[in-house]
Amino acid sequence: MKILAVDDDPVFLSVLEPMLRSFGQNDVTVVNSADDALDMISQSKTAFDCFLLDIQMPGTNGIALCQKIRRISGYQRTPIVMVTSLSDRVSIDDAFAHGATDYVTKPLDGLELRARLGMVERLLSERHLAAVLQQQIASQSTEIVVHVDFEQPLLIPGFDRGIEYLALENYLLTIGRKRVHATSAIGISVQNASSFFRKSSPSNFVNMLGDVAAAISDAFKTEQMLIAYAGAGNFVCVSDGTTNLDLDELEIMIQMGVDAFENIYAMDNLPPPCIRIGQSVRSSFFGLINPTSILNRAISLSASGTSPLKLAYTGSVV
Amino acid sequence: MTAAISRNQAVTNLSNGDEASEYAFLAPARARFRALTVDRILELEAYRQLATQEATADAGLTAIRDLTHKIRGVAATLGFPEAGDLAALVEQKIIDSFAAKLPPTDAIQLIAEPLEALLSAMEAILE
Repeated sequence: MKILAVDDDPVFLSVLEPMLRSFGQNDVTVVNSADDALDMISQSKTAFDCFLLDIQMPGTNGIALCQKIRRISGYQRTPIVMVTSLSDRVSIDDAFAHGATDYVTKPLDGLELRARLGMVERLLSERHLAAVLQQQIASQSTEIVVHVDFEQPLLIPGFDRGIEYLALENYLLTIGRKRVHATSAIGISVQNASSFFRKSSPSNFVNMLGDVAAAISDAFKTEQMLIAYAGAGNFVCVSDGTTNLDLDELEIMIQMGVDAFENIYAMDNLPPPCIRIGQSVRSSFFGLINPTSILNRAISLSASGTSPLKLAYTGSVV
Repeated sequence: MTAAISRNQAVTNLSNGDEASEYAFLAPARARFRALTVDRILELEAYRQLATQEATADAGLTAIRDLTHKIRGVAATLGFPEAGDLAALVEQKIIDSFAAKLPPTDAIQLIAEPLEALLSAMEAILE
């Protein structure tokens, strides 16, 4: 795996580099600043597979660098792991909102870093396999082939506020059990996603998800939220739980946003997507749960059609 | 729990100078950190002086914050958990005092004890 590590502290890099090599990661480049990192990316003949970024650096900080990397062609989905001493919620929220895939805190724990990089390698290997399959299918066909697995999460093209579902899970794991109780999640489902998927081409299905994503962005434009597409027609939004949202009104706004494309769907003989928002979900303070379980709960509530009348809790009801 | 054990184990191995341990690859970084410690002690003392003077108080506190940020990032990984914890404490107190807009004299008072303890912990690294 070709790794670029960025940290302004040479002593830290002298710890990180041999640690990575001890894990068998021998293709590691280290630089001391965001500017050097951007130069390195533009000069590199082969793309980097993974970035490890410090946050607090003079000049451009690691979060701004993360955002800049995401804007470079070919790096929209490259795993970016923040490696930082900052463990406050604002830094964590900012990092994931600007495109981080994962977040590791200093001082470095060798086992933890190895586990996170293992996750990155599995992710890259799955993507590589999917790309090879798609290439094989494309080579046997004259049409442009887009492969979409209905059940799987997807990074929707052009959905600027969206992050990968895996990153959203990592976000909840990073803020941890102690702080996840101050977090709420809302599921937003395309109720007829399955029949839409059967009737449409994969590219039409992705376009439809893009329309829904745009409508969600518009509806939540004043809210600080992390939004991801979880697969099977389900979006999930996570916030710090301090906002009081009128979910009925949001559902109407998103549906209206999607209905603006009604004529296009009619031209393709496709049904317009039907939107449903589930109850807002919080983890119970006393519930012994996995931090990511609020995502599953939020999705199941929107997918099952439970109306957004009151706050729901995972674990015990408070 | 596993992660905590591994970190402690790494620290123990390094503290024991266990070159054959799986963390032996960190020996050069540890030597570099130790070599830098003399300069860093002198830097911290100079910044503390700056922080006590009205005209340079903010610059002094900012410099202490930035240097302790660097120390906290690696000290524990290299087997110096006490210095790492104290550096984190000093950094956090300066961040909090800036956030609360405390006068520099109060901020200096706030960090006096942990900064002194940090300097002692750093001197112990050299022994």
